Amino acid sequence: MSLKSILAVALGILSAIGGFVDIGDIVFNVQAGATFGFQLLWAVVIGVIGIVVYSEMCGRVAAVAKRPVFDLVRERAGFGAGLTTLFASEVVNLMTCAAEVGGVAVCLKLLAGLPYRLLIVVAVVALIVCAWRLPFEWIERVFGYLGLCLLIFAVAAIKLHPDWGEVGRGLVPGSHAGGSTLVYLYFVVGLLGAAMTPYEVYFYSSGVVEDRWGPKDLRLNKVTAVIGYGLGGFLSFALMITAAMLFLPRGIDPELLGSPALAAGDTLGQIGLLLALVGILFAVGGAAIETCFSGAYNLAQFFGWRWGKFERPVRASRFTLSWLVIFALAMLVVMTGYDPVKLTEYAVIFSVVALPLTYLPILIVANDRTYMGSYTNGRVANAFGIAYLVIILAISVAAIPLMIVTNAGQG
Amino acid sequence: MLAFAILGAVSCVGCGGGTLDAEALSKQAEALQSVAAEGALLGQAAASGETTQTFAREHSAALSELAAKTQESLRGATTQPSLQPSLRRLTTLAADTTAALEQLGDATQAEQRELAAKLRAAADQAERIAGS
Repeated sequence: MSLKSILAVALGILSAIGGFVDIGDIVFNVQAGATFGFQLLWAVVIGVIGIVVYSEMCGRVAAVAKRPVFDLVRERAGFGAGLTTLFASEVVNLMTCAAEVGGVAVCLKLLAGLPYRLLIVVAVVALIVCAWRLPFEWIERVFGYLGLCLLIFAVAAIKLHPDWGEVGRGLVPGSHAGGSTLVYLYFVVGLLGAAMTPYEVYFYSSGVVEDRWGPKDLRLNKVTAVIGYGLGGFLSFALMITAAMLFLPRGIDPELLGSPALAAGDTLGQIGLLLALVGILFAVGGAAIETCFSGAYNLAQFFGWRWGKFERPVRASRFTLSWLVIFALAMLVVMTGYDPVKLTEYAVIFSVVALPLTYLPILIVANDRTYMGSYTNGRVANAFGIAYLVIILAISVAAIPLMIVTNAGQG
Repeated sequence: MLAFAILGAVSCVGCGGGTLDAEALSKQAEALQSVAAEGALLGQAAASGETTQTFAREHSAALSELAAKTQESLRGATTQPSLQPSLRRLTTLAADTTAALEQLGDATQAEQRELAAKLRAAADQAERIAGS
């Protein structure tokens, strides 16, 4: 492996770590830790393995067949089912994008103290400028690297001296102590949904096409997916452990985006607080761009429009207009004053319902020799793929009933 | 638009005052306990210089909005006679918590320490009501 390749892998991994954690991961991991301590760490592991399996698969499909996910969804699922998937994914993308934009505005408010609605406009304008001006890989890197400030939660988690034996036991699925079983199951669904949210694979596979990866890049694809998402899961652990140590004993149910930052500040002082806020700001800002682009990718790929950041905006005008409209709609949603944290919870749960429609076509195409030639799934990839499809189907059926019965985790 | 319809429906679960049974009263007490405890943590961190002034002001304002929501739903609520004293106590606690959180952001460090103690006491009392 040349030095250039090693550097490319390192950069890809770093941006994947910072890019993995979005507002959904922050909200669900912190709330899960505050409610059930370390007992739900295993759900993060299951979710991370799932996103690694399917990201590797859709990255491989995109690199070999040169076809991103939504292109294949329409072809394999047919127009009617494809249109249903498109509609569901666009609603979820818009809700998620709105939540992320709201999250950026909340972080700016906690840093600068300016009016919330003004900051929503500032956030959207800044995100549009970044999305318009920065090349694709620089969007990933800038937001991914600055999102790495979230590693401050790992420092906080260690400084809080958790019982590592208890942490280890949390990695094993089992019965839980404290809280209701339905709320526990709601958090399992939420944590899996937050880790495996569909926009991640839409964005990842379109990114593979944007970066012009080919079969020679399959090792890079595998390494980036495994190490990047794996270490992203490490950030999720850190958030959950910090919340478990600081919020659970005090009976705090964190309902605000400032709560995890407070945990970092209380543990590590002002520098911890500021790094946490900057980390959340860029992780959430990067995810806002990703969800917005995902929405535009899906539309363009479904209707066969010219698409891509590598295209000049005027050449891919409908694609460009799509992501601008999604940002504008997201801004309108958060301008209503709807709480971004609540919006995040609903976005994650609704995304769970759309999961099978996203992941089934990937699994089918990854096994199709017409597209993949000699790069079809091996036995291990298929075993994991099928196992996760069963899990996804189960949680997609349970998601909305659990949300209603538990009043979105409030019990 | 089914997603937005369900979202609206779920958002409204637990809204409003109305008649509170023991379980609903306990839920309100838990919500207040959570906000007061977080306020106490914030007050303590702010008094020790572990937060920025802007963060302390903005986060305490957001917490006071949450406490005010609980206060609002308790103020219009009724309950069975045996739970009346708890409801009255909780309503007072909600008002005190809201007021303490409103003051916290712009208070001096010494005042923040006092407010943190007050909020911790409010959290303990709310916890007792939730458990009773």
